[in-house]
Amino acid sequence: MSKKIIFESSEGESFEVDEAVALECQTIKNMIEDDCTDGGIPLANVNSATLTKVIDYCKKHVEAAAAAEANAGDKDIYGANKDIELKTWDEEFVKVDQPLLFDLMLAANFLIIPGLLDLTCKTMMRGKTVLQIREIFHIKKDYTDAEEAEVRKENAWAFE
Amino acid sequence: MAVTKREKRRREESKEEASSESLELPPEIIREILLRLPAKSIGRFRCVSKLFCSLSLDQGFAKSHLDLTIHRKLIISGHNLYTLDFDGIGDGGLEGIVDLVAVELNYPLKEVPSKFDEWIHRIIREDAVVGNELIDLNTELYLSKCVQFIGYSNGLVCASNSWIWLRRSHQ
Repeated sequence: MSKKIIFESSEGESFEVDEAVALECQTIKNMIEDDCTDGGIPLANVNSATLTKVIDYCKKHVEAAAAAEANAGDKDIYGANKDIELKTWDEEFVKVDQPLLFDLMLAANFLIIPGLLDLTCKTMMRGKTVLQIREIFHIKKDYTDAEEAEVRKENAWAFE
Repeated sequence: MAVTKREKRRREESKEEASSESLELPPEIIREILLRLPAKSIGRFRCVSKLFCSLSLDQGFAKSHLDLTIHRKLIISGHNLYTLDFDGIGDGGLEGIVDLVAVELNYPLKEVPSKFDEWIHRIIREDAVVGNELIDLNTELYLSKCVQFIGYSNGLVCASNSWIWLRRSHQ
């Protein structure tokens, strides 16, 4: 029977997960190593909806890593393996609305889950224009038109 | 308490789609986001705001970005420079078929081949002299362009364009 870790969301809801799943979060890993996880880990800045998703992500990646290990050397001639399935799963996983994607990213940053941080950051920014980014982040343009034109000119290579 | 606020805001936002309230992302998080983007996106997003621009021009940024993206691209030199997505190597496509595409790079001083060909053909036609050398018209002259890879440092590649004369006699 594997050890269980209890997370507590910002709403006070408890989530019990296998230690292996919790170890996916570097922050929690450090806490486990320091042996200070008894009585649950309060995550005051992660809400239940986000935490559910984060746990799903960690579970899937722990399972995938275990499966990959079990099937090591069992790759087909093209070198294809479970990676593709996992990538497809990841793509589906981040098909969520913008606020949840945001919260997932912040949670990944706080809990230090590099894979999830990577995934959410890239998803949020992929294929976006400058205007769209301002919209998503609610950023007011602080350049004058002339300044913006200048920055754009300096970085013309990036607009090709 | 910040979370409760955020949660509350999300509920408000779902009620009225466009909220003008700032998400107030701290600069450290914006930096983390930018670090995970391809160089071109970073360049483009410098136009978003002064903060985005200064973060990506920060001294340590390029180094951190390189550390995160290192080994991602394979550069192949030959007739031109090409890149290959390193992560794609060993990856199967949907049908388990490897789908690797070498992308031809655009780089400064990249010669437009047709122009050069035109120039070289004109020389051969007009005086059959290239440099100080008289071209033997019984000899086929092959001009092969290649890019020599000289070295690299911190993701910056030094390459030089050169042309190699290959000559093959009819005999």
